[in-house]
Formats: sequence, C-alpha cells, structure tokens
Amino acid sequence: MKVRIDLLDVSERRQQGPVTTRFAVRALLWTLAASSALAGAWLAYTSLQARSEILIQEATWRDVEPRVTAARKMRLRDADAQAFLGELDAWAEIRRPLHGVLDQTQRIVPQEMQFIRMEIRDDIAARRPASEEEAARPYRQFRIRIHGRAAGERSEDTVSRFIQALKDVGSPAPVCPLVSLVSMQTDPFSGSGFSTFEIYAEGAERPLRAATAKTATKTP
Amino acid sequence: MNWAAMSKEQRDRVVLKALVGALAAVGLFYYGVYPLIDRAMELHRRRERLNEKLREADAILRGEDALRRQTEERRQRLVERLSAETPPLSNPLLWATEVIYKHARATGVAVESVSEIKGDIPFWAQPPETKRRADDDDTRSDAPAAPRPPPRRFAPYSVQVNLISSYDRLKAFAHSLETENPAVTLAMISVVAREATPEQHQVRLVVEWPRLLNSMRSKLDAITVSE
Repeated sequence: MKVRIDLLDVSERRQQGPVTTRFAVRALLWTLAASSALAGAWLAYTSLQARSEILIQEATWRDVEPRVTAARKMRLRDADAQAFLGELDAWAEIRRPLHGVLDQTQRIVPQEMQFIRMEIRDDIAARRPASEEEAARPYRQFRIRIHGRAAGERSEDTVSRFIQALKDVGSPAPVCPLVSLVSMQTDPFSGSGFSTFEIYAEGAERPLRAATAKTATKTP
Repeated sequence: MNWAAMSKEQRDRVVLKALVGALAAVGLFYYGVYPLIDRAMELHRRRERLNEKLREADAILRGEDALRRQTEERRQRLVERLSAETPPLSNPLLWATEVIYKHARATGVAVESVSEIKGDIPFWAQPPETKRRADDDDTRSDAPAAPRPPPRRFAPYSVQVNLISSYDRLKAFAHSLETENPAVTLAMISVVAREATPEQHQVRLVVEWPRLLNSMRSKLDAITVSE
C-alpha cells in the first residue's frame, strides 16, 4: 500500500497560471476605471459639443422665427382663401342652368299642346343630420309642375309623347327623369277634343359639397 | 490571496470589501454616471428637435416667395369673385336689383318688382356654435369634444322677381343672368299664361345667390386685407 502525503502548506502554493489572481483582479479594476474615465470624457465632450450646437441653432431659430411665423400665417390665410373659393365653386357646380331647361322644354312641346302654367323649382333643401357630429347635406333638386291643355281626339297620346320627351330633357344627364301624370281630364271650358292635364317631374338630388380649409398638418 | 488559506476574519473582510465596492459602483452609476448620460441624451434630443425645426423652417422659407405669390393671386381672385358673384353684406337688395334690371334691359324683359325673400339662415348653413343643442342643459363637461362638421361660409340670398315677358325673352334673360354669374341660381320660375296677351306671360322668379355669412366676415377680412 502506497501513501502519498502532501506536506506543502496551502499558503505556500504557487499560482500555476501566467498571472496571479491578485494581478488579474487589479488589471480588471484598472481597465474598468480607465474605460469609465474615457467614456465619461467622451460623454462630456459630446455634451459640450451638443450644447454649443444648440446655442447656435437657437440663435438661428430666433432669427428666422418671425419669418416662419409669418409664412405659417400666410399659409393658413391661403388655405382659408382656397376654402372660400372652393365653396363658391361648389355653388357653381351644383347649379344647372335653367335657360337650357327652358329651351329644351320649349322644343319638345307638341303642336297640339299649350301650357297654362309651368313651375320649375330648383331650390336648395337639406335633411337634418342624425347627430351634431354629422354635417347636414344640402342639395338642389329639380321639380317641374306643368298644367296644360292638349287638343285633338287622341290628346292622351300627345301628353304621353310629351312625358317621354320630358324625361330626356338635359340628356345625357336628364334634369327630371321621374315624370308622372298627376291628372288628365276633358276641359269643360274648351269643349270636346280638349283635355287639361297636370304633370309632375322630379330630378335627382345634387348635393352641395362642403369646402374645407386644407392646412398643413405638420408645421415646425 | 488564497481563499482556502484565509482565516475566517480575513474572509469576512474580503466579503465586506467586495460588498462595499459593489455598493460604491452602483451608487456611482446611479448618482453620477446615469444623470450624466441622461443629461447628454436630453441634449442630443433637444439638438435633434431644433434641427428638425430648422429643416422645416428652411423648407417653409424656401417656398415663401411662391406661397406669397399664390396667396396674393388667390386673394385677388376671391375679392373679384365675391364682388362679382355674391351680394354684399350691406344693402344686398340694391345690388340684386341692379343685376336684375341690367339683364332685363339687355333682353327686353319688363320687370314689375324685385323684393327680398326674408328668412332665417337655413339650419345647414348656421355656424356650429349658434346651432341649438339638444343637450344644452347637460352639465357633463368631461366628455371629449366631438368633431364638428366644417362650417359653411355662404348661405342663400334670394329675391323674388315679377316680370312680364315672352317665353323667348325669358330664356334670353335666364341665359344672360346665368352666363354672367356661375354662382347665381334661378331657384324657382313660374310662368303663367295670360288670356289677354297670349305672347306675354306673367313670370315669377326666385333668384338665389350665395351670400357670405356674417360669422365669416372676420375670417374673410383677415384674408382680403392686403399686408
């Protein structure tokens, strides 16, 4: 039996690696301290640099600020002017010239027909919105009411032809595509062979668009 | 330094030193380094914000001349259109009467009367703040303000015109009126045959123009007053 006795005291043992633990710890601490110092110096330098740049930028801003503010106000005024003009354009867009309607209506009236009264309405109306957040939508809509007299044995055909023709007035975008005969009766004052009639026609709603001021969304 | 060879007292001292060292490092970072970094970052952010502000200011100022020209052109066009196409705020009936008579004379139509159709501003043209609210007595003020529809700048101004005219002259009158002003609308036209003069009809017209709302006056003044 072999017995190996280690007679070396623990404190007398030598470090087997290239450097001692003490050296490694010290080197690490020094490296940390040096890097911290370098980082601090870099931080201080960049901060100083940023501060001086800020001072320059602030001075530049103070110089240009009145002009920029004036330009911004000008931009707002321009957007407002555009909105005013846009709304005037909207009023013009919604309008359909009535002289054209009068002219075309005159052309389609048959020889055997005579108007007693004609009323054309294109006034502006609007429905109340469901809530305050919704915009009311005003619109124009043609409504024509004609009270007339037709002569001849087959005056109902004359009226029917006229109704068909009235539907196409204003084509390709007819003014009043919905035309209906309200009444038709023999005219007691004009004798047999004459009928009086009433026609009602209605067009589509033409909404009056709202013009909004377009302002820059991102301003310095 | 050999941990195994140290006495208990020496080990305690080393642990204590390590603890103190760690605490000092944390304290140094928290009270010394961290505020420094924070301040430096804040400076950088401020510089970036200023940079952005100056870049946009530069863009605005580069387009300043073009904007000035455009604004001036728009202003002039608006002033011209307002005076030509819309009745003035003061004495609009006089303006409307002059327009009607001018076209009537040009087309040979006999005007009997021109009268103003008075009425309130239609609800759809009323400025949002004057609209009656259903919840006026509602005291809830913490609710976020709801987005409101864009305000209208014009409301219709109408006059009724009675005239005697043949159908062809009426057409010419309407043509003349509508051609001169793209914003005017013949909102109603009623032609009634007259037994006595079959060629001449009794005509009633409602002529409508967009008229500037009083509430928009200050806004318009801000635009139209040249600097």
